[in-house]
Amino acid sequence: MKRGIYLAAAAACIVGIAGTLYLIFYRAPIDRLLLFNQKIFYYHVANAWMLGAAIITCGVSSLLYLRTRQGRHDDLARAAGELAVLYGAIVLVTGSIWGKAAWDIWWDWDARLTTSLLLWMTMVGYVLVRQYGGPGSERMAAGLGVFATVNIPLVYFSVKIWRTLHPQTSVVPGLQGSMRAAMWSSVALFAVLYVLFLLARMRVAQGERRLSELREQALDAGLIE
Amino acid sequence: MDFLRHVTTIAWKDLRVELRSREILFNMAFFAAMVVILFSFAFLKEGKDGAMVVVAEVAPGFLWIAVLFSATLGMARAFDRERESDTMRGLLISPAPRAALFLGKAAGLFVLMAMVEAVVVPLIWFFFAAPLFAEPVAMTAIIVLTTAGVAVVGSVFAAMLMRTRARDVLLPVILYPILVPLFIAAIKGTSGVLVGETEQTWFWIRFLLVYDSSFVVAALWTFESVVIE
Amino acid sequence: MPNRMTRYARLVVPAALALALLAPVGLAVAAEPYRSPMREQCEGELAKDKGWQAELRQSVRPDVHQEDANITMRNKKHVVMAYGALWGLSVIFLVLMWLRQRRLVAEMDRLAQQIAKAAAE
Repeated sequence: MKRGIYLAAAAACIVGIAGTLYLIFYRAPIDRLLLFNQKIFYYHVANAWMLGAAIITCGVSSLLYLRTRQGRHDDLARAAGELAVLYGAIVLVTGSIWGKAAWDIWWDWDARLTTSLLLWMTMVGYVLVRQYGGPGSERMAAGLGVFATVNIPLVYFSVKIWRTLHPQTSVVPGLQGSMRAAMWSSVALFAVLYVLFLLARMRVAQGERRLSELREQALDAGLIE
Repeated sequence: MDFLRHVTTIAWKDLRVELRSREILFNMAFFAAMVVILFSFAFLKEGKDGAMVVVAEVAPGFLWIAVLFSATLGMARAFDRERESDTMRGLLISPAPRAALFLGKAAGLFVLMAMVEAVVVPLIWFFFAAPLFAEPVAMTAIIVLTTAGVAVVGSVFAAMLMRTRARDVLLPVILYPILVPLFIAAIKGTSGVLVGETEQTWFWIRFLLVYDSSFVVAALWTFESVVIE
Repeated sequence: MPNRMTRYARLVVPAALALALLAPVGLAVAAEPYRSPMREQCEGELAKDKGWQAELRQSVRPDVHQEDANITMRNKKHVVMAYGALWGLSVIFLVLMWLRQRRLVAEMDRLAQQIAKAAAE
């Protein structure tokens, strides 16, 4: 039953990829200001939102884990933390490619880019702690997850205001008609993909945790040494 | 009142240990001074009259990077000490509430950092001719709030990492990204003092207040469940 | 044998040093771009003859403009790069996850075998 739902969702994603690509490249008009480059925008923004969603998922489930000490919250936090690194990398790479295309520079200390970079680095720290922290690292990582979530608005506002001290024309197109359709279908596609990735990664984390628990039990029972 | 007494007892304990051994404070202060001097080499330029001067605009950056780096040394050591002599257990079973334990640790770190700043701030003034105390109230507010923020967040992470193998490497890795907003605010506020933009300075002071209070709350939420044996 | 080696080294090391020091000079000399002696004269003539200048400009600029316009209108390169990077990174994530899962399954099998062996004994 569950397997059926996963497969259906995965199939929907494949259709969704084709559908959004069609909407983006054949239905949405070429932006008057940013021209063809603006096509990057649809997927880029959807991924940026998923980055935020992943960090918040990680923070909330970290807090739940610290409160309840139930392994499943930790598995979810772990999965979301790794996904945040994935989405952060995607956002940064597509963002700087777009920057190169639109302003002919790879990197600009734009508020959004800088915010994404900082949040991404926080989440890389999270994954590093999980990877190299050794035993007991799940609690530390949970603390870091909570702090990272509290930090999101602070990072955004500080960077935004830090930037606006040097005013610059911002290039944020107002979306209409078929552009809006392309945009929202991309967001929907990546939201479904995000949930699928999250569940898959969570299952693996769950398996790993159960296995180490079983191994300990077997050790205690003297079945293995 | 009892709570405050617990906090001060723990902070005073840490400081007394430090004042007897003096192993952290001197090293921290020397390290911070060295960072300032190293940075000055990187930003030398020729002044109007041909003399070599250091670019004054970067002085706030030097100040806060020196403070942050030396604080990282100090906070790691402060908890190492508890681990080496296995006294953390004693603290945890003492009747002091966990929140008081945490705030006491943070207060100890705060005082330690303040002592380092007592060295670094005059150094910055001396080397860069930076009028840091053109606005004494604002500058003091920035120093106090930034130090408090670093002490609070740093104490949580140092306590978390206490039992980890790679703690020396992991501490900066997880601490610095969280501290970036604080760092931006401190630097921008300080440069506001230097160039005389009072409004900018007070904006960042308000931001620092928001940051500190958010993380004090977050720290009190997490500290207890993170440090439990 | 060692004697011979040191003798060679005595020759080779200074030679290499000299080569390393001289090479940039040689490269700099070789890289000096060709400057036509007619250039100055042409520039002078161009400055005087406004009509010629305008004609020259007209003949050059449309091409350049068209090229620029093409690049910005259908800048496929960067869009393809961005979409490629996006799916590439996702695929890397999936592959890593798949590897992790395979390791997990292998580990499970190992544990099951160990337990079966212990049970048999």
